[in-house]
Amino acid sequence: MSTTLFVGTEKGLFALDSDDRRESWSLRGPMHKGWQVYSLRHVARDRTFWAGLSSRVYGAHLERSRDYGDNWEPVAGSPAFPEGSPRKLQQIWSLAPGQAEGSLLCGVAQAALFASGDGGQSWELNRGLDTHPTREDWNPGAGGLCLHTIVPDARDPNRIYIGISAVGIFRSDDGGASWAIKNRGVQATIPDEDPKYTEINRCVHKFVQDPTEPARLYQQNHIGVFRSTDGGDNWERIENGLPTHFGFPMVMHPRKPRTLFIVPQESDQFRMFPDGQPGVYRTDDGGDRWTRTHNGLGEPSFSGVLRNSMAVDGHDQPGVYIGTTGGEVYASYDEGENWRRLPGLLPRIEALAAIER
Amino acid sequence: MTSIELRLPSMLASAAGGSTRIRVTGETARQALDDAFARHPLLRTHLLDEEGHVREHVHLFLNEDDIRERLAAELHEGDQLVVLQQMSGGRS
Repeated sequence: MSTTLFVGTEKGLFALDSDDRRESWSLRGPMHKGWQVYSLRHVARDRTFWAGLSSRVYGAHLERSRDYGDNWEPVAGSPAFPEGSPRKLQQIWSLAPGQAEGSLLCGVAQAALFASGDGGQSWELNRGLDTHPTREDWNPGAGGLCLHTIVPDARDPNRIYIGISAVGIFRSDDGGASWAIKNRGVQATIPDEDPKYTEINRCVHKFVQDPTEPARLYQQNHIGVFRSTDGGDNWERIENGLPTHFGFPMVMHPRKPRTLFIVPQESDQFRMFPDGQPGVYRTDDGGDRWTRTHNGLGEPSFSGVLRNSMAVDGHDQPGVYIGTTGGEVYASYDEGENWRRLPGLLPRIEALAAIER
Repeated sequence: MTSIELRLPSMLASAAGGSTRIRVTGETARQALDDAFARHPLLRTHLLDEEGHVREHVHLFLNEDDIRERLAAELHEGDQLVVLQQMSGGRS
């Protein structure tokens, strides 16, 4: 079994194709030359691979491929705000299969969720979120007001979580009709002495659910790393062993419960590896303790890893992949103990997705 | 109806069936664009914003004239309608 690793960048999409042992890799691309690719998603049940393309000049649309990126089809009915809407569709940040057959979800900036019930042909704005009582008080962070993470619950078909930068995590228990804020225990990014809504202004950067224990969620936030053991109702800090509390990406090990990976970075001012020392940090106990892995990561390095730029594949010994803002891709097949650089020096990397073939 | 050529930047080719040059018809630039949007809906997404205006960093030239504010401009046989990206819209 080989892996294709799609690499979304600031200037187009690339693909790295491995041999069966993941020893040798070859580079394809660029595809969608000139487009920013912030979101990538393989929907295995439809055998379809999706890319969210955006441009500061031309806006955004979805493309899909059924042959691992050799051919692409632009989606004419891509997510769009209704004409006259005060919101602008700036980037496509997240894609996820919904629980129902043919259901797909898409998160965009300016913060909105779109849903498709026909396999991605057509999309509708989620009104429950768009009319949330706090909506007009959401303010963008440095990366815009982006809905960057969508987590359909691993067991409950009516439960969905979403994450919005500079706002926080929301949970729906009715299939997306209504949304409750789930930020208790997470401090505000910028304290406001007299906020209109005390529950928002929490800058989640990425979060994951442990599919084997769905009540357990983990989030990398602007101000730290947090864990919930009750479906997001309450959060606590889990930062033992970390050099800094700031970072963007977070992925779960696909097979081992309570094992996950993050990439700490030096403060929101600098957004690079601390002191030029790159490290992917792993926990094996649900965040009680983090351990740095770095063997094989080029040092010193003053790049970083963005929120969608870490991925895992589905091999028995899973590959963990990171793509840096300096355009380098690294892979590890032993849970981070050793890293190897994959071919190519690419534009700033915005997203990764791995598919087993 | 006047038939003219609409020229697109290469980034928009996939939204127009893979071509950077398509034939469109209309008496005005706006009608010609609407003809293009009817056949290629994503072109509308990429050339107009949510309020229906030409996107901030998109320029439309009818031959030598910038008509992004004058979409009622009349068309004549042999005209070219050209979509250009404003240089200030780019980064890196």
